[in-house]
Amino acid sequence: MFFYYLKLAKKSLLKTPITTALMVLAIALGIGVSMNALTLNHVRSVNPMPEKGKQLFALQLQTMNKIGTRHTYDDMPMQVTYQDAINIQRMTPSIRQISSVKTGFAIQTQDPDFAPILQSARATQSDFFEMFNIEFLYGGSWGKEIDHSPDNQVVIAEELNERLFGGGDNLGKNIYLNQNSYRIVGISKSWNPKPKFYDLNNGQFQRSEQVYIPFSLLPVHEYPSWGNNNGWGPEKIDTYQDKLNSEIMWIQYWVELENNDKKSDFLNFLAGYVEQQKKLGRFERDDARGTLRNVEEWLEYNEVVGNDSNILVGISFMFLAVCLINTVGLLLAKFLKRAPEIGVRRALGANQAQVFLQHLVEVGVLGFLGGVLGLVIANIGLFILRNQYDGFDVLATMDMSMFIAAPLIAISATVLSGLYPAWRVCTTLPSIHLKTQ
Amino acid sequence: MLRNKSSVILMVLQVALTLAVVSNAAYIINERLELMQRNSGLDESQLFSFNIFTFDKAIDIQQQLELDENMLRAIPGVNDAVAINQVPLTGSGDSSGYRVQIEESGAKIVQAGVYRADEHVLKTLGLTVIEGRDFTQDDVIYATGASQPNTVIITKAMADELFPDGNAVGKDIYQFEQPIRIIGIVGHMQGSWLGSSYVNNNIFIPVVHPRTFKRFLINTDNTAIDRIMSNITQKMLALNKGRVVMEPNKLTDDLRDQYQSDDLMVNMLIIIISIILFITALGVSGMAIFNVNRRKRQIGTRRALGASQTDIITQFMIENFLMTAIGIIIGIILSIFLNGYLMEYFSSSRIAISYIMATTIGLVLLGQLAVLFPAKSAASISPAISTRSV
Repeated sequence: MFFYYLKLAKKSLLKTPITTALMVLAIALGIGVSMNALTLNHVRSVNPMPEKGKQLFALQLQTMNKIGTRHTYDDMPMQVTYQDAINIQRMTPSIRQISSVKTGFAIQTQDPDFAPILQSARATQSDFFEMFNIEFLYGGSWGKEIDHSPDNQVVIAEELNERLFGGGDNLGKNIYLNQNSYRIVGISKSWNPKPKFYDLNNGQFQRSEQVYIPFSLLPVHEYPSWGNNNGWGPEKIDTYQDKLNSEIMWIQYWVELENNDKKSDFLNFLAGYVEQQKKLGRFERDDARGTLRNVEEWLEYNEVVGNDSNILVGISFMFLAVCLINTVGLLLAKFLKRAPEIGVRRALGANQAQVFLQHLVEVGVLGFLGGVLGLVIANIGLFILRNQYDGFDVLATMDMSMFIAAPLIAISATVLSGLYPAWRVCTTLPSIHLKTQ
Repeated sequence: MLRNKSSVILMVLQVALTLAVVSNAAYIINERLELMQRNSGLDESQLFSFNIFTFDKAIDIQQQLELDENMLRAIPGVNDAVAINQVPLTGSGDSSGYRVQIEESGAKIVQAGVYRADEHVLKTLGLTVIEGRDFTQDDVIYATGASQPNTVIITKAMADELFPDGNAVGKDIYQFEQPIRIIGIVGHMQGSWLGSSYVNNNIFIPVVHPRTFKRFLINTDNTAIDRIMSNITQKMLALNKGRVVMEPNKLTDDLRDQYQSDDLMVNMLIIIISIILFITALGVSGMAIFNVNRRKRQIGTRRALGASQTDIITQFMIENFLMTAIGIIIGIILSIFLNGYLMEYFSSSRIAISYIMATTIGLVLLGQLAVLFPAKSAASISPAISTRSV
């Protein structure tokens, strides 16, 4: 029966090619524009750590004075101070947690002909890799003891390994970071979470760093932060040690807590820590506290999706609604015009349900055509975006779910809008039309 | 009209939604365009910048910066050049708070973008002192730590915020305990963060730090900029190899990058507006054609009874006008509702009523235009049709 209806649909659609074309075009434009907007939104709202999204928490501490403000809605700073990072880790040794900060180096190899390249790097701790599920091609992280007794060891990512050595196992070789010799202990597999949730400071869709060095080396070599350094009060910083002792917030801090019990334990610990620090004259605000946000909450808190993206999705779906209303109008006109023919079919024994289904199939075909064309339009739009705007090579790409979603949304939306016209035509009495003939 | 309720409702809905979308989108477009058309106070087309990172520990950075600056300033076509901590319009840099009294508590703190460079800074940026004087070589401090300046120049906007009564030149401001004397005021200049509330507050500090990471800002003759940019990296490396010199960027490109998301928004919304108007016009036309076809006999009868062609056209035009009018009334309510939503959740501002009015007029005209052709074809229906049975 379905194929018979398909045949009927084809016949009917081809009978009025202009109306059909207009309807398909209207649906396609509506789907195309809204899919385009939705793709931009979807890519931004993807959780980059689905496996561990509920176990990894960004730590925030309200260390500011009473008049300090940040751009967040609750005025909480996004980063922590060096002293808090060191204190908290020392006080809770059983919990997996890492300090990390972006820095960078001029990199040279032992090959004197290799022109030095500038690369951003991440100073962090040995647990970073396991915490964020980063795999290794060769070797692994530096040992845990290096987190306390610094040593010039380095992990480089696959891409940099290609660039420096043309790939391969290069464990044990030395590279020079700002002329300091570092021994390669691990070569990690390419890891580029989008958004770059673990450090949203300088561009939410930046590439990940390809050089990892022990955090414990920071005070040794006095490496600067290449990310944001946020202060809130006048503090004179003359030396690197001044910065380490200061209230400047520049460290990204992540904690892994397997369940809610552990989370509430850690929050209790933080409350105690804030009280203790208050006695030392820090944390002077009434709302001084520590908070934990998991990956999803963290991305939402940082408004990674962005207002513009949400507005565009809203407006483009209103636009899709207009396109569909238009289609309903055209369908209604078309079906009713055909009422006499339906009258004959009814008189010959087709029941209401069959007539209804026949028309829905026709509408479904329209929706499918519109959806496919809409997909093409959306991809043309995304192609233009990728070429016209910097940084959209990641944002403006459809993943599989969007490819499936587009025609599905198109078909269900058109079928929905076809319900009324189909119902109208199947409920008209056949006798009326038979009479006038 | 009332005999075909469903198609009337569809028309009304379509007009209402179109009005809401178009008026709000047009308003957002205008908001963004106004943002993008703000004057930066700089002649971006003459300016470019590049970053360098000195890794060779044997280099005396302070001394090398002088050599670099001298080399850059000597290039034909370069008006001036300066080593600086941040470049305006790029979205990255430093800012600090300043106050007019020595006490920290209760002081109003004015946030400003901080530009540290030698006495060439204003000339390189193309800024002129409107009050007081420019820096001289004697003002410049070559520092290693966080040395405080004795003198600063600030933008007019910052001066007005610090000293609402005027006469900022000669007054002292504070970052820490040490007073800093304002020696000059320059006109308008936008800082690094174009979206920030203190974008026009900028302070020039004649302190040069020997940092490993430095930026150079170069002011060139308009026609020479591409030629100079093309081999600047080689020239810098020829002077000293112990650093990485990054690709130079024109300020016009930096500015475009900063407004990229606004530009994207404007373009997407323009596309949406044009397609939605096109679709709505098609819908109105389609509905009218459908009505004409259905009412052929009725029209024929009217014609036979003495109605002129103009009467028929007027009839359809009025019908369309009535439907549009109902749609518009609902649409206006919908627009205000949508705008209210945007204001509440997306920090948009109250829509100017003129946008709704303009869209309304536009939609009426569009509707009338769209119905004109079907109405004309209706008018050409022969009265004789009424006498036929089918």
